[in-house]
Amino acid sequence: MSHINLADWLRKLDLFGKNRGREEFHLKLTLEHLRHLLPNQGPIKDFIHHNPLHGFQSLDFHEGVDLAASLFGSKKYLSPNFYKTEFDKGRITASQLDFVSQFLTTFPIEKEEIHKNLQSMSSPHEQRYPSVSEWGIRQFWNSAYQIEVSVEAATILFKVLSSYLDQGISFWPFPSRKDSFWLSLRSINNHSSLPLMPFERKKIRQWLDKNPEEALSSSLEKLTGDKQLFSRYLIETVLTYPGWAGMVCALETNPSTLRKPVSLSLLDFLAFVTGLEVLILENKLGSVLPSNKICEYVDTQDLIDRNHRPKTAPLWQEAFEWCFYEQLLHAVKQNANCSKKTPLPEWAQAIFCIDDRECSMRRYLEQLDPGIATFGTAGFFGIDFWFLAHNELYPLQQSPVTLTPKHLVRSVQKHKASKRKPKNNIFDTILGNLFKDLFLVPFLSVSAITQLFRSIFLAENNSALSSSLSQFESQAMLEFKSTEEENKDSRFKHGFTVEEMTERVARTLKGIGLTQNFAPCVYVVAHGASSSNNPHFAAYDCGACSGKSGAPNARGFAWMANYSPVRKRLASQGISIPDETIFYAVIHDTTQDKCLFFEEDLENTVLPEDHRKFQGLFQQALKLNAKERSRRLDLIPSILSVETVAKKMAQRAHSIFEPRPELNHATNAAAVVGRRELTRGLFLDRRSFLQSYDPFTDPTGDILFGLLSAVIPVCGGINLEYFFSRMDNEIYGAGTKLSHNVVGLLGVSNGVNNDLIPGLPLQMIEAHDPIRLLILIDQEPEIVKKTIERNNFLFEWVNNQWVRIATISPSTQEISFWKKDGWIKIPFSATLPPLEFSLNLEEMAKIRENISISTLNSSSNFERYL
Amino acid sequence: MKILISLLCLNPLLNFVFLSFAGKIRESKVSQLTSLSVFLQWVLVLVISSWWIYLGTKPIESILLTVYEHGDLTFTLYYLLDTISIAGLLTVTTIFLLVTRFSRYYLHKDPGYQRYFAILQLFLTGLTVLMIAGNIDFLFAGWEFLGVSSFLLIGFYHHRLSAVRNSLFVYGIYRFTDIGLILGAWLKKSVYSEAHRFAILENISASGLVDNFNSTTTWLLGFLILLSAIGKSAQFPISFWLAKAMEGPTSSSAIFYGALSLHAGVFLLLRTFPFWFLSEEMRILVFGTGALTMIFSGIAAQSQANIKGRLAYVACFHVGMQFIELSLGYPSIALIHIVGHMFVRCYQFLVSPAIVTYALRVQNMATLQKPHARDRFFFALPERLRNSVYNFSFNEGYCEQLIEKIVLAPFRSLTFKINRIRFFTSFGAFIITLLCMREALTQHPEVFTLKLEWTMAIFMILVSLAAYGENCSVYWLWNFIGLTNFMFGLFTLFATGGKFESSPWFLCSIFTFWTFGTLSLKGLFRNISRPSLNKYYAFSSTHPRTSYLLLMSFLGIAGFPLFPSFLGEDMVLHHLTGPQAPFALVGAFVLMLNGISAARLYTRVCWGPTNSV
Repeated sequence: MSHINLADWLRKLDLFGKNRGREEFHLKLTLEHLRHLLPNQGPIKDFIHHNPLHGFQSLDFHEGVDLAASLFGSKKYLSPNFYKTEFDKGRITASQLDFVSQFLTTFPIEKEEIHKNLQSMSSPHEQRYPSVSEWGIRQFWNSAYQIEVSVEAATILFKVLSSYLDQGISFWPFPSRKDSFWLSLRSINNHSSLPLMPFERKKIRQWLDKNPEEALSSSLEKLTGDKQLFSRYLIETVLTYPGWAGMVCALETNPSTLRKPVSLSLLDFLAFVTGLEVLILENKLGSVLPSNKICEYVDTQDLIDRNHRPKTAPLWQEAFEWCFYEQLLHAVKQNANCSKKTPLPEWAQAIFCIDDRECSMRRYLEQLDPGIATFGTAGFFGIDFWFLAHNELYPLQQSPVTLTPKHLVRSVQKHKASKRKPKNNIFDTILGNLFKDLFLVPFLSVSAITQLFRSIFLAENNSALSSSLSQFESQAMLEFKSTEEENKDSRFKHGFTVEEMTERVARTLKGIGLTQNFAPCVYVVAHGASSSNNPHFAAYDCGACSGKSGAPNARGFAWMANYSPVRKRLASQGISIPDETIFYAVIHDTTQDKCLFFEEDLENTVLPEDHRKFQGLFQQALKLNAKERSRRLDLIPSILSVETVAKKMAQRAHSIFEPRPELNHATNAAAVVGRRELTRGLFLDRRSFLQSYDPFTDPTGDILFGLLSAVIPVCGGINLEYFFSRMDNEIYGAGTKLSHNVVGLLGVSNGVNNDLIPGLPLQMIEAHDPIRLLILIDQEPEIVKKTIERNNFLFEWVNNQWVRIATISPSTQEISFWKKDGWIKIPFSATLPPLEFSLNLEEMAKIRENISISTLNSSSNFERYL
Repeated sequence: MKILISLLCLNPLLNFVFLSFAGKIRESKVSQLTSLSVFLQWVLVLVISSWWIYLGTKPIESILLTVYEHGDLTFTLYYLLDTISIAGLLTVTTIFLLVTRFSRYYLHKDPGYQRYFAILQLFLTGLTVLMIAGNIDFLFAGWEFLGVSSFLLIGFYHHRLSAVRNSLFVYGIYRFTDIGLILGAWLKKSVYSEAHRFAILENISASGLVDNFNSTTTWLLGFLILLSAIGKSAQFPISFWLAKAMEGPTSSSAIFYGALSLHAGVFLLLRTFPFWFLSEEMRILVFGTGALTMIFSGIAAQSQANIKGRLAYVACFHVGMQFIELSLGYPSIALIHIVGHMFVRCYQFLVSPAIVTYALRVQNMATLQKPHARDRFFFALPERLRNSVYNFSFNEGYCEQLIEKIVLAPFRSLTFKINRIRFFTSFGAFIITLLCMREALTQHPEVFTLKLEWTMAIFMILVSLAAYGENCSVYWLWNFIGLTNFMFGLFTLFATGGKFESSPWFLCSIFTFWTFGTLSLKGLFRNISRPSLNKYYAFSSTHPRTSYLLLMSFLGIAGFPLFPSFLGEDMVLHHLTGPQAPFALVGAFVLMLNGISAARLYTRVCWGPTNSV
């Protein structure tokens, strides 16, 4: 895999060492490496959480972070003050520091150094490496001639790129956009009486008449004077304009995400940028640039001193993480050791998404009625397809990013008189005809005043809202059955055949270990989110459905599992679903804590009493969930009743002024893959993903492999996205939302002509503690080791410790923790007290910070809250 | 009524002062205080409006406050309530009410929460004053408030370089176009002492004062007012600053550049309408400005690929139309347009992040897909013309590039050249100053020769140009600014024949603020030997209190209305009449330039990214 070579390549280049980045230049190889250097975030409508440092995963975590930090100019860890505060509060103890340094770290730390460091934690300011604007070759022009090349190039570059790639804001699209980027530039420059760029026309023409590859080499020659420095210059280029460069790379890899397709490659981008820089410099310095002085400049630069950084910073981070891991492992071990109560007959089963936000819903349901069993699986429920809603043009991908679906499911409106969402005049005039806007202003102003008052005082705004509970979708019927007649579109198959359906349903059911003892009511609960005035709306939705609501998938699964031919085939595979069992699809809106049951899909069935009972319990659980969530939100006083709090929480999704409609995956820190017995009765504080898995049905680890292939990249991606956005919100994250400006419908920037900023905004990660994901697997360590070794990609995640894994043996309840290349057994001291937590909602609502993982006291009852 | 109006002005002002000086207050208290204050403002406006309607909707003009009176030197504040004021007040306060409530949640947990609301209150004071001002001096005070609050709010996230640069740029434009108002005020008073009152101006033909105002004076005065209006309302040829100003929180962009501050210029024209409408040249100028803006901004808006840039140019487009409406003689239509436009644009800015959701949803609707009328026109053009028009739009009419090439770059290189001879310049300035002082103290002031006056004026210009071009040393820059202002005060003293009344105000306040500034600079740079202007020191984060003192000093030297130097500026200009008119121009130019240089010093010292280790 080429991305393994990125880190090696960077090491070989030795940018900050004696070599100064010199090497034999190979264009194709360099481009390939550059594509992996930057975060891979595509258009914001499809926000997918992923590891911003994915290119560095071939390195050990701390080395990777260090290398990335030296390139991006970011912080590596939290400020020393943070760790010191945690230590002072007693959350990190000296014994934990000792334990971590002794057992867990892969780098040598002297004990004396730790204690010395404890005394002298100073430096109130964040430590960060210098950024590329300080060590790059471009600095030469600044120091010698006071020309800030990157700033001047940026003004033209960003405007051209945003205009070319624009997906619907500009009234006049970039001319000849249908051609490739380079050709359009050529045509717009050559066939025009007025200049696009403020340089000599002849020079521009000469430059653009070459093809991109030639243009790139000639520009690089002028900018560096030495072919050996070309690679270094290109790395610096990509790091100087990281937002747009990253977008270009992401679009190149996946061009079909755009509705208005464009043809722009990384090569075009680099050729354009370097050409611009040459033109700017030639404009100021004459046509012969003193490129020969650059080699000298490069060789006499100060090397970045990487040795003065405190060696103990990674240790503190590890200790900070360990203090959470210890809680979780201890609690789960204790819980597993508890005597099992005799299982009650289950009258309802609910399959949720593994999402950490659902872990509290599951807990409430089980506590409200012990006869309900809950399961967790990836939110697409194994059904991958493209979903084309009624009267829409573009199908949505309803599967994880890694899976490209081959089936298309359409929806048909059941009722003729379907209400279309009305267009909003005020929004339309933003993008519409100027003269129409002019004449409509007096009329629009009335509408504007009304909408302003409604949005601000009543918190209602339907045009700015992106909601997962949109009514008209629920009334539409989805066609899951494949129809043999029409199949004009050769790209997809319409619907699924019975074999395909059975295969998927069986795989999911086997994965979660639900192959017998089906309850009469089985609920498939998908989740989605709602927010207003939020360009990052897709980040709140289900990651397993590529940033969409999982409703179509839940409906698909339920429909397929209810379909009698499918049931017959399942029975022949050993999964016999009794006739009275009905599968219901539900969507849980995690922002508003509301739900919608898709009963229309069950057309003529008579719904049992138990179903109504479940619906009532679900509503109660939603309200309690809202109250629990509210504890982290300052503006909702903790003394309010459950009803009021639920209303206020729901309102947040509709408020145009609320930058935190919900806290999404903030505080996520663990994923438990195993039976519900391990975690039932635990208070996980909504910090853990929960995947159901039955180790006893999987002696070979095949099912586990399937599950981990999803859990590790998806949950690990989410975790690391939050981790790095929290670690350095300016470089890896998007800064504060408040000054964001939507550019081309592709991304956001600060202000009008600045670089794009990928990553999570400040408001999404404030509450997050950066802790790497701990995946606790309910299986024997040998089997787990064999499973992850099957795939290099997964093994890299685990062995280089970008995620941590631990196992709890189903037979002995012993905990093994993965350290590099092997397991270590964790000795739990007997002195650790059993942690008990009484779920008193009023008390809990006052605590703004994280609550330790603990066992739920059986005296928690909620009757009095409802 | 006077009490109500005073309350109206003092309410936000006191709020601003309290929030700025009271130390760190909890977020909930800040929001309660601000909401209460804005609500009170709204109630006051309703009361005043109803009373005005009750009294028969006739214009009411009266003295609000006599700040200074000595001999023939007076500085009074007049208020004027008429349709324009009332409509303006109602709109402004309603929008403020809405945006304050919006910001209360939007800015939650932002470390600059208190600062944001303090600046907003300053802005509200400026707007209120602008609406009710009855004479040009009072209006100018409000105008300055708007300028400073814009500067502070664009640079709200001052750890970002582009925010810092753009806030300085916009402040520079504001400061430059303010020359129009300063000179306009001066011109009015020198022609006819009561002409600074708008009520008088309205009846200029009726009261038989036309003789004093010959067509050239009217035209000139109108032009100066137009200059200021163009600055604040981002008209041709300087529309390009508006897009650059979108660096602060969205709610502030909405309220400043969507709704309120953008219309200050056209409001000024509306205010002085009965006066300049008399002159045909003015009508043509205003029409021309509006038409050119509509053409340039309208075309520029079409290729904007980001939402705030698009909204900015569309807003300019509308304001251009308002200029045209005024020039054609329809002030009431213009007023309706202004009010309606304020609400629409404010709302559009506030919901601009939702454009992703909305546009994608609309684009996805199959039933709404029809070939758009817009594309038809553009694509119907022949290729060469289409590309040219696109390039014109892309470069926003080439205004910025041309102004940079023709005006700014040569000016900058001139200041650099003068800066290189700074030793000569400052030495010469000192000599001249000493000469003047000696002349004044030993001889009779009337003997003061014209040659000396001119030499002093020239050196004043040279020193302030050197300050503008100073890009090495912090202290040189600060001292240049102090010196120029001091020379200006001294100059006026002698040019007017030794009348001591006005200058002491000015000189003392300049000296005080210069000292405060030097002290704060010394405090900030305690550990740094040669502070350079090539770096950003970002002392706001590390030494907030001393930076605050520096801010006050910068504002004081720049003539911010809350400080006596503002008074002084007005009064010194007052003295330069008749044959000394060119010196008034010099004085205004120098003051303008110094304000920009002082702002630059402030941004370099106190703002910028905190550095890496």
